[in-house]
Amino acid sequence: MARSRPGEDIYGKPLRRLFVALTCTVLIALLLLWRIDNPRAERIRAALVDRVVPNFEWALAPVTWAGRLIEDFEGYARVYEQNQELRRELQQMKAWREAAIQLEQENARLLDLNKVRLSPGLTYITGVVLTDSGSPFRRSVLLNIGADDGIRDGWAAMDGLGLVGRISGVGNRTARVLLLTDGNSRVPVTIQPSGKRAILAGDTTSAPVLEFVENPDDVRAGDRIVTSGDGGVFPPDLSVGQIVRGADGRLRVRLSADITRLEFLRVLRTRVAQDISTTGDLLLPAPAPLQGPPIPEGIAEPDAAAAANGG
Amino acid sequence: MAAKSIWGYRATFVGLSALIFFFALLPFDAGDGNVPGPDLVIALVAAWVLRRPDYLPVWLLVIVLLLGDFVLMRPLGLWTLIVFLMSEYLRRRVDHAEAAPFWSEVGVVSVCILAAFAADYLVLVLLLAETPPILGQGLHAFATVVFYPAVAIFSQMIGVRRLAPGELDSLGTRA
Repeated sequence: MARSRPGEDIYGKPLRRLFVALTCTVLIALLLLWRIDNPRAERIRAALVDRVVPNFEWALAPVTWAGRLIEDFEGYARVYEQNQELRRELQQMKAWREAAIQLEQENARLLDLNKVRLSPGLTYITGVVLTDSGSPFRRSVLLNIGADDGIRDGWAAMDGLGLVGRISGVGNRTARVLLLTDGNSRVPVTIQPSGKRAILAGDTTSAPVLEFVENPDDVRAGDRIVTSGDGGVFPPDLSVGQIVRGADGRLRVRLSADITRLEFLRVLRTRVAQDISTTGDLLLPAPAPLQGPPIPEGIAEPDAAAAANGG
Repeated sequence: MAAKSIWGYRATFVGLSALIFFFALLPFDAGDGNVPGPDLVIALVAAWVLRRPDYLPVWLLVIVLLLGDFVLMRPLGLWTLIVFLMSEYLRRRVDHAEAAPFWSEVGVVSVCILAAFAADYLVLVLLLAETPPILGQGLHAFATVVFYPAVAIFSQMIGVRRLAPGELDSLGTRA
């Protein structure tokens, strides 16, 4: 368009205005779709992110590495003090380890005596954190494992120490983990010594809030928080963190996971718990074949033929 | 020659935006509530639209902003719509702003950016969607306003300047 055509003044402006109005309408429709049918919109988003982001993996990894190196460099300044501190901690940990091993042995003996069968051990898939959410008010990370690796929506993600979040949004090669600190995150938890139930609600700060605590007086700072397994959201008894009292007087949780420096995450392969809805389902064998008049020959034939071929 | 440089600058805009998204996505402090940084894309759009509206046609703007909405986990379409409307408003101001000094431009754009963030927040409240904390959002807007002059000067330096009155007629690409 190096020079203006003669007709442009007449048609150009109304056409442009129409185009602008059309664009606005499309964008508003997209926003309404996002609001009304959120799961579908988020699936579209997951699919698009799945197409775009893994292409930049080659660039993301080294830049992230360089950034972490610079962050670490600040730590080198006080390497001596840190070393001393770690030595002291190691001494304490050795004592604890001895106690833990003895307790574990005792526990195993007791379980054996009582013929207790624990739920099958949780297995996990480990993924690398590719990106974070990119927006200052969303707390989520993108992992480099997805539906191709068997990841499903709703599974729990942990780092080595504690719960980090849950899978929300799975693409073929990527999966998004909604962190516990995100404003949309709600997780049912148990407060450990008292056994009280509560909901851990994120609010984009680094320490999520405990909501719906029955008797806040029974709860003290320092109490341990584990997942309760209510509602089948997460497997029970995953370590979450410790209670602290926030500056605003609310009960908050300091997460045991180091949520500022997530590198590798374990996604727990959660089995769908068998739902006991009626009384007989667990005890009876699989339902017997259908009672009634036999199925007409013509319909049953292809199956039989296939079976004969297969045999 | 003119057309070629236009496409060059359009590609530059796409590249800069991609760079901003890329650095926003780097997983440095994923779960932490730090002070939010500026939203450089809106500043870039404002600076470029005021200088050379023909470098940012509607379709390019919408595609880049929508990609940002998708990748950066924002509500789909909302931020795109707001920034797009803001750019349309600034585009219409271009004629009047021809002789305006730099600081008055900064003032206008600052008000626009603050209005954009306020509109974003209001729409989310109206839609009963989950809203970001208002203090954090305010800081985010403030940081963007603070960074706008730097973005504008940077744009000027890479060659996104206002046309002299004579050039405007020969090019004739402005709507």
